[in-house]
Amino acid sequence: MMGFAQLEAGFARILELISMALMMALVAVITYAVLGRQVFHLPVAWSEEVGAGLLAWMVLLGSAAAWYHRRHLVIDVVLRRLNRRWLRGFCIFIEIAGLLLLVVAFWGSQSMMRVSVHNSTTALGVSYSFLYLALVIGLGAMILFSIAQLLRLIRGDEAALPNYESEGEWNT
Amino acid sequence: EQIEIHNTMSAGGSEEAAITRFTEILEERAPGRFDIAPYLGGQLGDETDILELLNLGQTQMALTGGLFMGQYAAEYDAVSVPFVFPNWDSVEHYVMETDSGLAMQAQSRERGNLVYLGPQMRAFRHMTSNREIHTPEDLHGLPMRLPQVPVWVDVWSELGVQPIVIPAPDIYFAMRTGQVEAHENSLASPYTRQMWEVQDYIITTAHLSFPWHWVASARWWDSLTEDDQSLIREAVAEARAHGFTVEQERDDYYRAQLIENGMSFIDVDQAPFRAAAAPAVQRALADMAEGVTQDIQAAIDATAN
Amino acid sequence: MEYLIIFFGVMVVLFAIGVPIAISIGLTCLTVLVLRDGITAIPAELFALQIMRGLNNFPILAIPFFIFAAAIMNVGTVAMRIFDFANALVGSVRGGLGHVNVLASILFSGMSSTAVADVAGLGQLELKAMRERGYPRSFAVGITGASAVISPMIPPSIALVVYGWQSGTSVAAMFLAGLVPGLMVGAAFMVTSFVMSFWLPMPLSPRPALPETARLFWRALPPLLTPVIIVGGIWTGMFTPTEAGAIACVYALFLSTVVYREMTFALLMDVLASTVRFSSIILFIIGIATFYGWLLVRLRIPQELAMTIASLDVGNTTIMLAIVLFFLVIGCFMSVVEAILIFTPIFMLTIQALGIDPVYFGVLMVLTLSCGVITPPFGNVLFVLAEITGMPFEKVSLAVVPFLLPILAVIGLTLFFPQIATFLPALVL
Ligand code: NA
Ligand code: NA
Repeated sequence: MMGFAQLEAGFARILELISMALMMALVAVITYAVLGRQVFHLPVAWSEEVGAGLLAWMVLLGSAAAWYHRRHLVIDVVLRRLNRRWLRGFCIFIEIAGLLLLVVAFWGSQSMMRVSVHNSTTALGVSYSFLYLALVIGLGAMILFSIAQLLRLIRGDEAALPNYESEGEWNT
Repeated sequence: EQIEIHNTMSAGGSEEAAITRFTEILEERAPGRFDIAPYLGGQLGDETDILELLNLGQTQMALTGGLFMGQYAAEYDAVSVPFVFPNWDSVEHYVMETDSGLAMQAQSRERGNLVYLGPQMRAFRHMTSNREIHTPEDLHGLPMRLPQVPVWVDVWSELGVQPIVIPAPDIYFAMRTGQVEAHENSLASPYTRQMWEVQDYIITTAHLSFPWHWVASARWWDSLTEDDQSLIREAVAEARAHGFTVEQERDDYYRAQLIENGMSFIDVDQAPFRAAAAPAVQRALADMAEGVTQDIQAAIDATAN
Repeated sequence: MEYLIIFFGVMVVLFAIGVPIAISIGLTCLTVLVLRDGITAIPAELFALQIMRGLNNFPILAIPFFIFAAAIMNVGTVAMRIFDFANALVGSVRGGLGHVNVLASILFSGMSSTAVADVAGLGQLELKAMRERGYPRSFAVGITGASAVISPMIPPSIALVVYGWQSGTSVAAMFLAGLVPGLMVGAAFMVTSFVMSFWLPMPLSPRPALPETARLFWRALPPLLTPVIIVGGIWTGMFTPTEAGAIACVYALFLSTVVYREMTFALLMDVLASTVRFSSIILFIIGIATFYGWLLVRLRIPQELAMTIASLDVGNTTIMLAIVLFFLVIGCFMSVVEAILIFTPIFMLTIQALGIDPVYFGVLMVLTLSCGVITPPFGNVLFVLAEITGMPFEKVSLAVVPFLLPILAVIGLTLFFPQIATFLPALVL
């Protein structure tokens, strides 16, 4: 199973690296648009569209990576007062609840990807399918990470439970 | 039967008036049969969102702008090109009667699950400026706001302006700071944005009447009985006629109010503008399907009086 | 209206048992849909459609930009330069480091867009300086925590961006509107420090000679230009608030690599990774909350609420007072951005129906909700302070209490004199 854990971590790292590259690209695109308009008097009509589209990709890939690192915001006042046994039970319940939502949203995303082939953006005419692909990949990755986590929890892997001794009571 | 109707304009215009009339007619001819829920001001999303909801069958009807034609039937979308149709009747004729118009309707159904029910008049668009404009030469280098519609940017560039693409909510502010010195829209825009504070002239280029369109989701439409379908079609036709009247009244009112608030109207001769824009207009039409140019001419001829 | 109870109840229960915020909001939507249409007719596409509507979104792009710019600024010595300059200016005035603490937060708020960024960056320095000079610990912790509330009021501000986008109000107007109330909160804290100095030991800093002050000003000048660039650029129409975010990033990168030479490639990768992580988490919540807001409108809850409140026939000020009290309570339990996402769609139609200025409403909303970051049980700033100081959470919470009064005073003033928020945007825009 060591191999699988590394594969999972590597996948999360790749998602995060792409997301980081997109962040830099966003700075570049919007700066270019401002310079284009103010300095060179060129209307950069596509900057909003490209900016918004790249943002969606950045967030969904970054969100998947953060899901792997279990960094999404949680109010954990109750969780940190539970003993290990109850904590495992709660964690399994939460993971299943999360999976439920992710699967519904994933299903909708792949459906939207098909439905929206003829809907395209106004300036560049990029199909909306390409946007929904970001949801498919991002939510798909979150589902995979969740299944892996769920298996670890069910197997009784202690390391899969949150360790409140080493963490402060805030996680942003 | 619940019918949600969407429109991006806020309450108070000819759009709301038409939707209200539509509701009244249905209530009168089939009391209690339909429950109409209007969502004005883009409450449930912008045009793109509503098109997707209609496509999915998640909502029923909309009074939508021209976006769907660009998306589903760009090769027949002549009504979005400025300086093509001289009056409203020719626009309506092109969409409802010509082969190109019918092909547009069929393709919208096939690609976007839209049932097309008819166009509703929107007052012709003019330009505003704080520079006096009489001929196309006066436009040279004028920083003019345009929406993110490639063909409009192309046509106005051809006319010599320096196009500035910014979102609608920023227009007033951009005029105030001098980033933008002109824009184009129907008179509702300078009136509701109180543009007399930042613009001096309205130049009646009448370059485009960019209509609303009554559409329904095909998934929902096909579940209706034929009686209900024809009832709704009738109601839409009457609502469109009512919308036309109200829109004209509003346009006259805006004109009077704008003059009262100190804006000067310059009633230009449209011909030189049309001639100067022609190369860009031709480029746009050349990309369209075969027969579109003939159908435009046919629509203009059929409605000339 | 029974849906409103489900909308709120299910969400709160899920929050409380530790389901991630984003997932809780999404599951609440799912519950409502299942109750309405049955389990077999779940419109899965709506989730995709609405999440994408929230994310494929230009105004919101400002958020990662401002997070990135602040993170770059936090790498080097920027916080120290600002603290030193503030100390030279007001450290010798009665109230001493109390004033320095507040002024530094005001200056720093032009770079940081959240309250937590303020305590986490500047807070450490302020606490260290106050401890070394023998300031009472509870005063030090209290004013450091409380002054962080200024940050979301002064541009850049994530809270104001989210409100502007959700309510359809110009973000530029919101940025200008937050400025005066934000500065008033700062002034109110300074008055508090001044008054408290009469019974607390609060030694003053020596007044530096003019050339020394000038030198410190020069050292702090480059980062201090960030807010000037942001507000100036928006004001002159050079760029939109979103574009200002990108420009702020470029400027911060320029400072850290070319001017200060404190940025290495490894550091940049760290900053980028944390930016992407934090932004993605916040924006994923925004994406799902977009669906929540949409569903509320779809079920006509805000519409009904607006009609009910409008029919009450009490004055607008009374209604605003009630809403402000409600937000003060809500702020204790929800983070500012989440609360804005959830409650803006609920209240917006009421605000419009009553003819209340949405700019004024937004400023009050952000200010009152921001109090929640320094109140138990979920005050993020308190958690950070407890972490930095090692003080128990309860003690930290108590230390901040006296400083809630000046904030409440400003809230009250803004409530009864809307011009405090609205005159600047009206003057400039
Ligand atoms: Na700030
Ligand atoms: Na401070």
